[in-house]
Amino acid sequence: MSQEIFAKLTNSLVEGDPDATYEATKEALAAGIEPMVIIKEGLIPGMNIVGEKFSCGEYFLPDLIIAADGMQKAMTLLEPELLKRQQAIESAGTVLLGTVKGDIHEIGKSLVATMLTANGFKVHDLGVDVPTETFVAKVKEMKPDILGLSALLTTTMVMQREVIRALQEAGIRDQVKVMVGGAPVTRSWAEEIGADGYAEDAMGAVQVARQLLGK
Amino acid sequence: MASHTFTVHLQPIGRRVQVRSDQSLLDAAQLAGVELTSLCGGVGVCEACRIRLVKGQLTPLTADESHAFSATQIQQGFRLACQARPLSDAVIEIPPESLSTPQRLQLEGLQKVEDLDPAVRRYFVEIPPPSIEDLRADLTRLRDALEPICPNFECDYKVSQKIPSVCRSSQWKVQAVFHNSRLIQVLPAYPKTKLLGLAVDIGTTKVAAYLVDLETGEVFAQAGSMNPQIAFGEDVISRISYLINHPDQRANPEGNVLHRRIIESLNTLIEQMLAEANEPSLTNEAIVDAVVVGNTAMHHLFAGLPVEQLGVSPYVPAVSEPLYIPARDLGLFIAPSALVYLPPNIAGYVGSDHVAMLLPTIYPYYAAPSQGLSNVMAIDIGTNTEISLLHRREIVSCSCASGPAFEGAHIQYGMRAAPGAIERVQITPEKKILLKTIADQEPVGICGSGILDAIAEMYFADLLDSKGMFLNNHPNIRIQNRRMEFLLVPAEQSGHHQEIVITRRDVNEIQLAKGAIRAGINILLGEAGLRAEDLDALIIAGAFGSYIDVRSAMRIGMLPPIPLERCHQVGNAAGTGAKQMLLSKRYRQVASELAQRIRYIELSNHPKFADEFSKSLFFPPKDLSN
Repeated sequence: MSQEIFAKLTNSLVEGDPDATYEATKEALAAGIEPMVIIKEGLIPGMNIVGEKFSCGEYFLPDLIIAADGMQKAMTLLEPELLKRQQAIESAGTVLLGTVKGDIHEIGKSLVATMLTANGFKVHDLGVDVPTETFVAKVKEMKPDILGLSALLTTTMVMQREVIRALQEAGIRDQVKVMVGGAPVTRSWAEEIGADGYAEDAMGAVQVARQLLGK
Repeated sequence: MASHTFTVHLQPIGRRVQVRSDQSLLDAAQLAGVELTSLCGGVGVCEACRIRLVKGQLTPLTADESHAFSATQIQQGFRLACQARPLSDAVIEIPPESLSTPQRLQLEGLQKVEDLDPAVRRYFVEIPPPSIEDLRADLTRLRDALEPICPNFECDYKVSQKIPSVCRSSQWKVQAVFHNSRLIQVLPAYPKTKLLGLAVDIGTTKVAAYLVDLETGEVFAQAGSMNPQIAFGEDVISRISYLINHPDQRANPEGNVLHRRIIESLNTLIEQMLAEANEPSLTNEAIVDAVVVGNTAMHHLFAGLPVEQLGVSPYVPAVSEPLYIPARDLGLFIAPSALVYLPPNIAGYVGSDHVAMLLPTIYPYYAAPSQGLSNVMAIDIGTNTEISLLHRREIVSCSCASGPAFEGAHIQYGMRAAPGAIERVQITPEKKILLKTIADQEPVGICGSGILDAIAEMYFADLLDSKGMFLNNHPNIRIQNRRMEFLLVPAEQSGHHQEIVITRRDVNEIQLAKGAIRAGINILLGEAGLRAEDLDALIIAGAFGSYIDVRSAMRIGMLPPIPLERCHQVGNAAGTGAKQMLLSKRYRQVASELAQRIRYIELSNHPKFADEFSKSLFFPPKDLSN
């Protein structure tokens, strides 16, 4: 019975039908399945399949967006239930995330946030056009495990280097792992500026985040 | 049977044409220069050339026609133009969806001669030669001769250098050319050459140049080329980052290499246009005025202004007010003292080309006696797509990063609109694929209008779902390396004996491009509190915009669904606007007024953008009336 509902949840995400995800989540709750289990057994496997299909070129941005939409619809039902049970989503680690100064691209960074959240990370999204000083101050304040820096323009990716330098100057570079990403960013750029991790896409970001935290 | 000749009247275009009784109405339309859609070449298969008989008699219905229309449609007089021949004089109505080029406005024709009021004009004068009793300097002598028509003019020092030789070589009969009250050129009075102006539209990808006769308003020659800056990046941002990463170029006293390349390529176009004219007396010296438009980055690179700040948010231009730059300072090979006019920019990503485009498109509505009360949207589709909306005398504008997919870039078998490019695609209800290529050559690739058609047709034939995923519904859909694709042309039918295929990646590229454009449209409509159906006119400019099938663009959701007769495809409106500013000072004032009045909306951080863009990536429901 619950296996059937989990399959329904997973398939609805893979097939990109957010309304079906929402309905299946309702059904799962009505059947008395714990919200944490719904997430782990139904939703995360679905998001991971979508992410893999995206990584290998079978799926594209619209598929990722619609899956994320389904995930968010399900979470609107699950979050209140989790609160009621006073359960926090089991955290795989905390990630502080933002698009660098001078760059106001939102979508790629938000997809990374969605994929990380779906995989159990606690994500603090600082938004776009984030000044270097804000990244430094927030790292000091929130002590995240990982700092993610997004840049979508060849003209703004240089700011990723600036943030890493600023962390060094503030003496907190070794307190946080730094991941970089964005359309013009490459592995060699990440190495050149001394980042700890680089991923090509949102699914890759989850794997890199896990590796960085030794999970 | 002897063939008769009948008069066929084509509505609503209002053209009459003489047709023999053995010629079809499709022939009639082609004779009249009306481009009726016909994909099957007139054999009754594609059912695209639908027309309606209003008055007169035609040959009886053929079997293909009975198949194509419902009983009601037959009663209403619907026919296929390729099947029907006239039996009498006739009046035919062509529904907008049957026109392959919906009523292309002839913008060039809008320029009325009484509007001619160029910034530059010339006077012919005879100067008394010097003598031992008359020792005035040559310039003073010229001033005195011009005193009655142009007193106290300013004289460019470059002009004073040539006055002595021109006066003496012409027996003291000269023409003095003024830009307002500034003397910018002296030429011998004879031969009386044409006085020319240069209008240029610098696009990120393409450059269009026109030589215009400043005294008649006629376009004397035109030429186009690729923008040579492409070698430094196909989009604006990559060209800016090239300069950011090459400080030596930024500091080059001769101007950076992108600046030099565009000037060189304009000089080549000027040479080319003058050579075509084949009039030895016409030289670069006869080109005495110039208007150059382009997006803000092209404008800055042409003018030698710094662009680094345009590459990062908040994308601020160095200069947005109108500029007059002496041609010699730019190295532009026209009269050295001519003042090159650069109209104002609006914002970092909406440049003077958009201001120029508004002159022939939105401005007539803005200035109309109804006080601009119509709701009019104008779109210039390119690598960057600029959109303006006129509503209650206010103009709001935005820019969308639509990318070069419509130029054929990033599409696996994409190509520019050149011979052999597939420009029209139709999939019949029997799922047969019909193609039309440019110049009717064997297909070698797909251009922007072709890929747009192909995707709209695949979606409506249920080969694609609304997310852009392939459905396994057609023998030509197949799986290669886990990825689905659509075989458009088998190797044996193509011009280069290779398959032409549309991949999911191609579909996705078009989704991204059309999603960006539609998000911009929706946000502007939202800002004005309008719905798409409130638009009185939707003007589509740009080379690509002129060749697309507007219905296909609506079917995939790039454009909102509005009645086709409100859509106007107008060609290179920015070039037309540049010509208007060349021929009339008034339009330069209008440009400044518009640029100041426009309310610019930055999309990338607009609170609704991410949401609108995500929604617009998908294809809309198919229940559109058209």
